Parts: sequence; structure tokens; C-alpha cells
Amino acid sequence: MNQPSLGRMILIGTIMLLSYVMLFQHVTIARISLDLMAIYLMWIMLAYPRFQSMWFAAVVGFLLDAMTDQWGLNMFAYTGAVTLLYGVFERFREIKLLDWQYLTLLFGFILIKSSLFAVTTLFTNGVDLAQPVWLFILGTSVYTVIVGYIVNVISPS
Amino acid sequence: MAQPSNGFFGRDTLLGAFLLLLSILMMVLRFDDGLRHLRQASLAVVSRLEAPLSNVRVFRQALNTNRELQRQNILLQDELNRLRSAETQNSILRDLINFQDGSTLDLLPVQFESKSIFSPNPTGSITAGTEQNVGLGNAVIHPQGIVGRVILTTKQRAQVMFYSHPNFRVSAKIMDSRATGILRWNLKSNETMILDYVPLTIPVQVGQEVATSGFSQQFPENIPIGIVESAERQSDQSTWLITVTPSVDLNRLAEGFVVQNTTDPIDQDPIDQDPTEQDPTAQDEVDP
Repeated sequence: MNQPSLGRMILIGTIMLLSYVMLFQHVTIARISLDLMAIYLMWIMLAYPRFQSMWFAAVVGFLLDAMTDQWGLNMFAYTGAVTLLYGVFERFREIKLLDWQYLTLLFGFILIKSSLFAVTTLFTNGVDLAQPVWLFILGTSVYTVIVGYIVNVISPS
Repeated sequence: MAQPSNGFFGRDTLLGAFLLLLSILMMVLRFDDGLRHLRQASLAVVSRLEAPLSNVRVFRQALNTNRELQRQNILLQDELNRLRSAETQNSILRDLINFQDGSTLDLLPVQFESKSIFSPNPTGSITAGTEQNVGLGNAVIHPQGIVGRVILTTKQRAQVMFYSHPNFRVSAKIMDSRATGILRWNLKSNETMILDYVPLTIPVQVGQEVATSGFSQQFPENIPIGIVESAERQSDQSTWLITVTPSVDLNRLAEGFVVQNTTDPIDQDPIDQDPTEQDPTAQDEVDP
């Protein structure tokens, strides 16, 4: 896979982050919101080495935490998910993913990330999922996979 | 190409551990003063970012509110119309009750079930018949004036010949001069009545009130009929041709009174009587 330029990916990330903060975090279905940045980090993992991917995950998580006042939660979950799953993603870096492969990878990534996030909230004061943990994990995963598939279909590459 | 990982304690692992520890540290210290300034700054940034969306939200909320208010407005308008209608009806009924209480006549309140005002023989049916002692020839009046007379009866219903019927006649007088004449419908204008047989020696002025004279045994005396609209000399005759505007608007007529206990020589038992012999209009059906 050709590695896209860093500037372009940062620009895309910024746009996605801002659109998430301004719009998509408010578009909820049954109080379940989309995890748009997971889609972005999946692209990063499929394009960049582990070192850069972890930095991207940490920065994205940090910015997301800053904008949602969840300091450390998203950073921990994204970084942890990238650390755990990068080895799997690395195997698919050189091939063009089929739809089911793309969706499976995305589903696995968002599942791990949501699980880490949900578990972390159990030990953190002042953050409440406002719904059962299983519903949060599954709901967020399914919602994000559906949107991720749509994004994958309409995106140029 | 992917860069090779550099062992379990390599650069990537150390970075991962560092970042995870950093995030845990942030979680622990999030409520401490160390992050306060950062939180304040992020709050300011997020507020600015979400401001346009909040406007959209406000606009959307305004649209919803507007829709709800429109719905409530329609309901309130409907309720208001019904209240106004009830108020009007109340006022009419109150006038009728006052009229009945203040009158020495034996009045039976009735409602008009149907009206044929614009037909060649204008008639209407009322909600009272022989069981309520409504008889043929009984006058039908309204607090504003005369309406007509009963021409056909059944047990529960009766047919009323309106004053606009071509065959309707009533003895009337001009209230000021007490000059009497015969009142009939003006078939030419179809909006007014004609008072005949008032001598030219009687001064007639526009605006004078016209009422029943009492010479008719069907209509008691002094029941209003209308107002003099104009008075002309009839050619080759020594009487006035007086045009009278009726007091009662048949279009809006919905209630009235049957004047009972008036002795009418043509009053007969309605069961034994063939209505078609009484009046040509009696061929119409009474019940709607």
C-alpha cells in the first residue's frame, strides 16, 4: 500500500476530529454515538508503522479527551487498542482489503477500543456510560462499522 | 514498507507503555489543579467549535416549537370559534327566553329543521306538531318580528309558510299613524314586502315601523314586521305603494315561537283535513 503523506493524513484527521466534535457526537441512535476516529485510526494503522500509529492514536485520543472532557480515557483506549491490534493490521498493509476483511478489522478494532474505554470508565469517577456496558460496546461497534462501510464505499481510495 | 518492530523492550513498546502511563496519569489527575487550565482552554475551544451547531440546534428547536405552536394555534382557533358560536347561540336563546317571559302571548319555542327560502314557495319545517298543540294558521314569530304561519301539521312536525311566500298576506299597520293595510311579499324585488291599501291621506315616512294590526285572528297585534323603506303613489289609485324591509332575516333564522291559542276560522283538525285543499304549498313534504 502506498503510504499517504503525513500532512494529508493530519489534515484528514483534523477534519474528521472537528466534524466529530461539532456534529457526529450529537448524532446518536438510542443514546449510542459513533466512534468516527476509530475509522481514521484504522486507516493510519493500515498506512503507517507502529511507532507513528501509536503517536497518532495518542494525539487523537488526547484531542478527543480535551474536547469531550474525558481526560485520559480515549487516549488510553485508542493507544491500547492500537498497541494490541497493530500486529494484526500490519499483515494487511500490503494488500487491498476486501469489504468483509475491512469490516472485520474495523469491528475488531472498535470492539477492543470500546471495551478498553468501558472498562476504564469503571475505575474512573465522573464518567458514566449512561447505558449497560455490553450495549455500549456492541452498539458503538455496530454503529461505527456501518458508518465505516459507507465511508469506505464512498471514499476514493 | 513496514518498519520492523524492535523487540519486546524496543522503541515501540516503550512508546506504547509511556503513552498508556501518560493517559492513566491524566485520568488520575483530571480533577486536580494541574489540568484545570488545560480543561479551561479546551472548554473555550469546544465552545467556539460547537457554537455554529448550537445555532442549528436552536433553529431546529425553534422549528419544532413553531410547529407545535401552529398546532396549538389551530386547536385554540377551533375552540375559540366554538366558544364564539356558543356565545352567539347563548345570546340568541337568552333573547328568546326574555321575549317569551315578557310576552303575554302563549308562545311555544320551536326550532327550524329545514328551510326552503329561495324556492318558489318558501317554507320551512319546525320541531313541533299537533302533539304540542300546533294548529293550522298559527302564527310563527321571532323576537324581531313575524316569520310566517303554519300551513301543515303532523304529530311532531309542522310546515311554516314564510312571509316571503307569494300567498302570504297579513293585516298590518304603520305604528305612528296606525294606518292599516295588507302586507304581501314583493315578487319584483324579492327582498322587501309591499303594504297596500294605505290611503294617500295618511302621511307615510321612510323609517316608520310596521307591525301587525291585530285584525287578523292569526297574528296578534303589535308584532313587528319591518321598516318603511319607501312610499310611492300608485297610479290611478288613491293609495300608497309602501315598500317595507322585513325585520326578520330568514337566512339566519334558526329558532322562533308558535303563537298558540289564537282562534282561526280556518283552523281544522289536521288529521281530518286534506292539506292540499288548504294551500297549494301544502303539497310539499313536511318531514325532512
